[in-house]
Amino acid sequence: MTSSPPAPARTALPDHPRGGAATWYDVLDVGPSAHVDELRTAYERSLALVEGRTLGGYFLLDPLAIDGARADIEAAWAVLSDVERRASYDRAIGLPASSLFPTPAPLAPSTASTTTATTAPSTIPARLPQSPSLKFLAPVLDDSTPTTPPTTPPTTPPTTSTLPTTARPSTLAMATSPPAFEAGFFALDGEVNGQVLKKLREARGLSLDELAELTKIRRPYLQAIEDQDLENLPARVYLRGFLTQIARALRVDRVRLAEGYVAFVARFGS
Amino acid sequence: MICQGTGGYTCVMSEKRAARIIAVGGGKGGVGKTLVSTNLAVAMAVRGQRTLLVDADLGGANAHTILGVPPPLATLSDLVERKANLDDVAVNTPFANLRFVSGALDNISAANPKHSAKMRLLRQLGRADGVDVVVLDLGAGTSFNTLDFFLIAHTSILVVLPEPTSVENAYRFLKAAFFRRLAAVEKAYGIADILEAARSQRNELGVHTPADLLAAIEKKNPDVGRQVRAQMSRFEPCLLLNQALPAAAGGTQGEDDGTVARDMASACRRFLGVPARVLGVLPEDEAVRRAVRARKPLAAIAPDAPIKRALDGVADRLLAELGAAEAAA
Ligand SMILES: Nc1ncnc2c1ncn2[C@@H]1O[C@H](COP(=O)(O)OP(=O)(O)O)[C@@H](O)[C@H]1O
Ligand SMILES: [Mg+2]
Repeated sequence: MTSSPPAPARTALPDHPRGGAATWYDVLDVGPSAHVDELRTAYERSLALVEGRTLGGYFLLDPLAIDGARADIEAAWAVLSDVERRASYDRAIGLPASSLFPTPAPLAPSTASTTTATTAPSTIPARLPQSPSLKFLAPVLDDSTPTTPPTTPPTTPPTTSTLPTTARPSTLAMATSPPAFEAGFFALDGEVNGQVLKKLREARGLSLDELAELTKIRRPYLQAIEDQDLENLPARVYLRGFLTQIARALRVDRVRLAEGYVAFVARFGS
Repeated sequence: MICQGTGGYTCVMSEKRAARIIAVGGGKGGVGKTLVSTNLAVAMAVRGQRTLLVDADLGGANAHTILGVPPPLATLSDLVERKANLDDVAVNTPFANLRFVSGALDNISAANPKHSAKMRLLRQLGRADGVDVVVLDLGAGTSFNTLDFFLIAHTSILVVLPEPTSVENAYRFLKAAFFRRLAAVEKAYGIADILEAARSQRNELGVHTPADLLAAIEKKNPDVGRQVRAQMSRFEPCLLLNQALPAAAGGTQGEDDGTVARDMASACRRFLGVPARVLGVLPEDEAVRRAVRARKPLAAIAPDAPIKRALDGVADRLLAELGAAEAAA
């Protein structure tokens, strides 16, 4: 699961693809049971394809068509990478409820998280629930999501090897799905560089490893993004998608963060 | 018997059993269309299919050289102009089950024979006595001749190289084929007005790709839209990636070159309104040059070469599909 807040204030997602595709799944060319890792790959490949950055997309689309296709791909990813949005979209198009993504609260083992758990450090369950800043950032959690069962263990043992991995998704989901929080906390007005991203992350009480777990982006990439380490930055085609994920996890304006950082790198790199 | 090509063109067969037509195109010269069609025809013949290889590359007929036969005196033109019948123009080859027809259509007055003439030609080829499979080697470019043969075939193979120029031309070719096909559907369904409306409002409707156009037609008139979509989706070209290198040997962007074909098929499905699929990946192989120099098919020169084995795989897959299609018919 990719934990992205529903964020009602900025939700301007269309109900269906604007282009020729019938469903968001078709936009990414994946099956309706696609796992979130598969979705991420498809999303990144799709962007690279329509932007003509992979050979198979060379001169496929003209500039106007590229814009339209990109918008659909971004929207498809925004809907399908979000457990709740995806579940309600699945219902809307008449797909049977997915066992992968039980709703409303992902209590069952989530394969999405377990397969990528290699990037997750053992400290996550121990630290996350205790993070005071996260509690602060999630003030409305209790009254806004009354149906969410209390999944956070009151006392988390420090040795996490004994913790079932299944505790992770729900823990993270709780910690990061407060619907009320909005981007205003950080205006993101100035330059968006690695330092700014690092400060943002720390203000959210997240370690790099926790951010890696939340975004499903490998830690070395996150490190390179914060360090402005051009050599080791993800390929440009993936960078924007990664930044979008980071913005979602940090709950700041996605476009501003992604475009800001890309622009910064462009200046910084030349 | 009614047979339906992948292009959805209907032709009435008078024989009990119609030959399956396989067209090999690519939009670009030098991508390996002749290599593929010739060696595929040999592979089909070896598999017991009575095969007719037709060199339909009007400008650059050279399949005879790859096959190692003298260029036939009578050509497709004579067939189209009814100066000869099939048995006059189809010459025997050194290979059992394989006959060959030379393509030279250049003495046809207008560069484009009428659609009806082409249909008649295909019909003639398809119902010839003792022909199970017709393999068409098409020319480069997007002339109506080439597009029509590609669209009429039961199986349309598009040969692509992992090179920008080839990918670009392949997309151009597929878009041209799409619109050629759409024009035929438009005529058959009398939906010019709907299409025109969708076209003239392309900006308001956000129509940027062929797939968008299909969606816009459906929005204008769901019934017609569904039928048009069904008709259009009968055109299911197969992508065959040629001269592929493995990732280790300099494949595309550190990936296996096969990903190019998969990406392209996916792009066709999503944006071109064309349900393309990947038929196979053929390796770059020095055996090709040896065979071309010897003016013999791969089977005769390099029976164990990787490219030969890959082409055998393609032939087996196609036969299995054709067999299945026949069983269903
Ligand atoms: N898989 C391959 N490995 C090596 N060379 C190839 C391969 N495919 C094609 N070639 C080379 O490309 C040339 C052009 O192929 P050809 O079949 O004549 O293309 P087309 O008919 O599309 O114009 C061949 O003569 C051959 O030298
Ligand atoms: Mg040729």
